[in-house]
Amino acid sequence: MALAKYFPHATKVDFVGARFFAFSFTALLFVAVVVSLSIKGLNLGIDFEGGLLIEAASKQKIDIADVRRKVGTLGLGEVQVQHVGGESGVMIRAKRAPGDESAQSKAIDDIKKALGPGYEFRRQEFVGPKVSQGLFRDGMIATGVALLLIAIYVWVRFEWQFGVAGLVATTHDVTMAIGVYSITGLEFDLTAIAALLTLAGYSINETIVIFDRLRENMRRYKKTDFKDLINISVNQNLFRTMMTGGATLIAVLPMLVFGGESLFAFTLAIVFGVMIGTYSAIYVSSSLLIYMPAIRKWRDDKDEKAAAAKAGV
Amino acid sequence: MINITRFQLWSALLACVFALLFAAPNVLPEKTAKSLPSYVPHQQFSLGLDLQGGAYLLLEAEMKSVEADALKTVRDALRKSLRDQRVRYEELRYVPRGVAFRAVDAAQIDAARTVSETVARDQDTSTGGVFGQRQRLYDVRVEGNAVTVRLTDAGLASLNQRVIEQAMEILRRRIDPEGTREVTIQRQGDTRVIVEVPGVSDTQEIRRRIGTTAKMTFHLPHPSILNPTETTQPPPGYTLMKGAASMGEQGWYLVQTEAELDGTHLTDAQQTFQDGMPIIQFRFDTTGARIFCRITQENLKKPFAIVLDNEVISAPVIQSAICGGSGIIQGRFTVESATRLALLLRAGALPAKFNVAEERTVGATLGADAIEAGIWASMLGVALVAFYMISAYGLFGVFAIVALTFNLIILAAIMSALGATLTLPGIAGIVLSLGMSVDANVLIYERMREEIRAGRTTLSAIDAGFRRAFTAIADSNITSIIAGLLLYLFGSGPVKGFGVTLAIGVGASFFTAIMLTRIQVVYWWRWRRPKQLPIVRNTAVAAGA
Repeated sequence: MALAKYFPHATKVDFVGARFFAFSFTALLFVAVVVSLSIKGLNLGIDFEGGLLIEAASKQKIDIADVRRKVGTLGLGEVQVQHVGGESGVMIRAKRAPGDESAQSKAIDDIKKALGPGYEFRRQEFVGPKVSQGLFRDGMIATGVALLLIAIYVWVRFEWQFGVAGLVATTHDVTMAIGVYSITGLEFDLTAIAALLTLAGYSINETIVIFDRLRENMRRYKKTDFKDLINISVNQNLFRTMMTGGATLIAVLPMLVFGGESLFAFTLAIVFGVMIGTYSAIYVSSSLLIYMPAIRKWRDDKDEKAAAAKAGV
Repeated sequence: MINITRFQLWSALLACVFALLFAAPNVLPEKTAKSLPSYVPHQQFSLGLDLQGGAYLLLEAEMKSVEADALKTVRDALRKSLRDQRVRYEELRYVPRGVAFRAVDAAQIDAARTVSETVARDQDTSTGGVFGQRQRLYDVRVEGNAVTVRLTDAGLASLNQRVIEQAMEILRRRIDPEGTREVTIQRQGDTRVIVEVPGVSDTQEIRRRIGTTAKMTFHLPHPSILNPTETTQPPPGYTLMKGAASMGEQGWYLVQTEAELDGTHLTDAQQTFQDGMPIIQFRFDTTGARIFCRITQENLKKPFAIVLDNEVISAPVIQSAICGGSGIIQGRFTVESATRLALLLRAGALPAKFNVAEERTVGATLGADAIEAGIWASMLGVALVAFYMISAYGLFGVFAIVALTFNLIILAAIMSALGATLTLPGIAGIVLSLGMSVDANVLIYERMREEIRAGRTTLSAIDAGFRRAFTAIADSNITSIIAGLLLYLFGSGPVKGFGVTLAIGVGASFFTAIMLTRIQVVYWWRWRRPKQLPIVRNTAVAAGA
């Protein structure tokens, strides 16, 4: 059977030489993200902003203007009304209603009543301000701690230079993904945090595989120039990096297309994340090592022997 | 890496068999799975509310009132004991987090201290369990003539804990009086409780049941001022109370602040009818019955106020002494409101008021749609990945897909055994871990290709492929597990479920890639003794690469 060849093999691309192009590209993206974050900000979901949300479906086409008029009389302040899942679905989102917690529940009941019969209520949510602040804080802490722990792990398993490079690359990817949320205006909620953490894991995964090869090559070719070593390692792994990225993408893509409304933002962030992660593993993380203090020689092959011993249990 | 010991082989196979057994109940209909005998695995993994449909409520207790209630108890106890022990006191008052008074006579300060110590000791709680220790809640301090009984930090914490624990029990009785619904009630942090009710899409009834503390007390009204108004100044020892509008009572009542009897003595309450009107019939325990008997004897032909959460729900005139331990509450009830009130009284009063701080409800159809979409998308994802792997690696691709399939089975088995919850992001997590477990196989196979290109024999290439790829796989998997654990620790609801799924999925992929793929490849080699590996492209060989 003829095997398919999805990506080129045995490449000799000068990735390190292309680093200035890559770094400029990254810088450009970064500026775009910062600009978007400062102008548009993030479309915080009710998880993080508090407020209430109702999703309803009807047998007929729903007239948004009509719904807006009905809900507008309730005195809930700024209310967003939009279609969801086609023209027979509607999502109503409002800021926190004035008053205490029971006012929120009442507001939800009021909206349901105002819509009248003929609607099926698919989802209703209310998040109080204290809870939403807590959720936001926890989400940020989780992302920060994850980045740090991963960096520390890389530091322990490799050298601190690798840890720093890995941290920068992973932060880079997470920042870009946040940028995707900001630019597209996708709702930034709890699942977005899950997407960020997932892609932090994916991105460092890609980076580590290349670092692992680099470490091996540094031991084997002690005399070779460091830049060449990086190029050799990235190229040796290129096929694998592309294969894995491709496999993950084709596993996730059906989710993006058929997974429905609730998973769309999540899977979109993952798809972007996989692409960004692959890019940064090839262009950013290894090239960063050039700018770090020289990495001292590896203590013999102790690590590898230990690993091999463990593997051969 | 090419030596597979008998022990490794058998334990790997055994693990797969166990995984199959534990995963199997999930493909059975729920009823069949439940009817399985207990010695075979029968647990299915539970579906999160986002898939099953249901309500999630995060309740926050108003702890300020807990402290106030506790201090009131201390103050009342102090007053009573000081009187009983004939210790003269003055300026009995609340201070921040405590109660203070002064002994009038300096000679009585020791007696005052003893009384205070005893009162404080009575409030102690046990930490529970076999080795439960009594825990001090209050600190008694004497300075000159002044005595202060103060709630300690640890005391406040344990008081709060006790309140939340009691509340959880009462909430369960209120929401699920028959015990038939799979209601989950768990603590979150110091002052919050999570309530999850599957299958419910309207939370109005739940909110009604948890929104009231339902503290019932019985008070004697003022003997002469029978028709007070909102502006009436209550004389000392009396409180002005409103008629409960929700029960159809209007006007104001002037009642003794001190309750004669409270709802803790109730043993039962039922809605029933009298003259076609809905009423509530209740029973007291022995102590309650005795007190009730005495009150009714002493106050014949006088009104008696039944108060719920500081609102008078009914103030009937006592017609005769009631010593049988049971009584009725008449009021302007509807059948519905009487039934609910009876339920609340049966379940007991909540020790604190709870507010809904977060609420999420998913309709059953949305959940069903989500499952369907999720399952189709995952199956399509698996099929695409299978095609991709087999087309790229031939027979070894098949081996990888076998390993991948077991990866999914092991994931399902572990989740069922742990009773973990599958959520919508969890399904995405599974799909994602598919991609990552393919990664392990790609790493191994690519390494083998390289080694073949470097001129190694097939067997040595296989060996090197597994050995050299091992560290990369281990390192990358551990970082993914770190991310999964953090999601579990910091996430809530569906995100937590995602973290669990991701971590288990990655862990399982480590086993399947290292063990299952290896077993297949090695035994295939032993059987065929191939001159070339199926992952090597003929064209590449011809080109001499």
